[in-house]
Amino acid sequence: MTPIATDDIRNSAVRIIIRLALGNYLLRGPGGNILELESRVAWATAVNELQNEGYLMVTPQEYAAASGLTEAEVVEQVEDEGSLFALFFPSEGEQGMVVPLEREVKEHLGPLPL
Amino acid sequence: MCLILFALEAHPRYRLVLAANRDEFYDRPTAPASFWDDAPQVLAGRDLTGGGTWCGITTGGRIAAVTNYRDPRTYREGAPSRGRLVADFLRGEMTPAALLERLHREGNSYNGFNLIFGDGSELLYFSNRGALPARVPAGIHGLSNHLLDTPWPKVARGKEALAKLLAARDEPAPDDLFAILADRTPAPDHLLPDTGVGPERERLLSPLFIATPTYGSRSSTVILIGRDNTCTFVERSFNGAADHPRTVKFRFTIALPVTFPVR
Repeated sequence: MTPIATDDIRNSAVRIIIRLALGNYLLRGPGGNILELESRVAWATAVNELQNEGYLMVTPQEYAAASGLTEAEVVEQVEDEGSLFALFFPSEGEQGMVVPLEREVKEHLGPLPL
Repeated sequence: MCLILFALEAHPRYRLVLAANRDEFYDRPTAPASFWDDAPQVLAGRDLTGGGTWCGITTGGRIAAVTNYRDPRTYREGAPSRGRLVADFLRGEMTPAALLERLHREGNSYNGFNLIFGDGSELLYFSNRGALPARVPAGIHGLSNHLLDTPWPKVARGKEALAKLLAARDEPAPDDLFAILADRTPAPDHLLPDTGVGPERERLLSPLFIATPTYGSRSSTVILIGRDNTCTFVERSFNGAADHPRTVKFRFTIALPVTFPVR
């Protein structure tokens, strides 16, 4: 599995947040690799838009299953190593983190309409 | 521009305080700041070679400023004018977010640049040299020929001076800001950046105000946007040792309310 470049997806996510006025965001994590949004709506919208740009966003559990890692190892890549991008919103009792599994080539779609 | 210092939502009376130096060869034809004949809402100086500008504002509150990203290794002759980015944004109606998308798609056709741009509702930053695009947060910022807030000595020195001024003055005067921009102190050698032009040139380019026989700070610009939406724009232009500085000053009320969000 080819890892997604953190810079590329972070760049895309921030542009989406600005374009759609999704509110404030915070970059944290060891590599600035965790992008935290302020609401679930903003987070879900950003996830959807990243999917439209070709990123397959999954939960750490799904990423673990696809990559042969444990969920704890995936979270470690996000929280401790900073090697995996995550889109996050703080929540209680529900999954508030997704990570990119892979990127689908969508060159035929051309630039996204504004 | 080669140095932009600005305070966004960091002063009780002003939403934006911007002080910037444009560094250029003295023989490059330039028109001083004025309202443009072909776009009367635009107030900016004009680069008469490329047709663009380095910094400007409109009566509707659109604002933009550009700096080059210094990297002679990747410089390409014939690349489109970076000053056009500022001029086109000021003249047009594209939203800042739409321009951000366009820059994402087309930015690599330009030589290295940093662009600060906004319309009164938000101020955005984009560089085609790898920085994360951003909605500029409230605070004191500095931009030279690397990325936003890269702590080059002139950037750090300028930000510190701007922060001290704004903390000390209820009503910062343009002359106070010009004094910051006039600082000709070179950086100590051990703090010089390495951008590929050699240590001697790095030293010459290291002060806030640059003065060499052929190249240097051609103009200093101060823009103050008050919380009452009045805009004060003052430009002081230089042409090396040959001329005395010339100053032009404008004051107007921005038509649309300026409401940079506070984060």
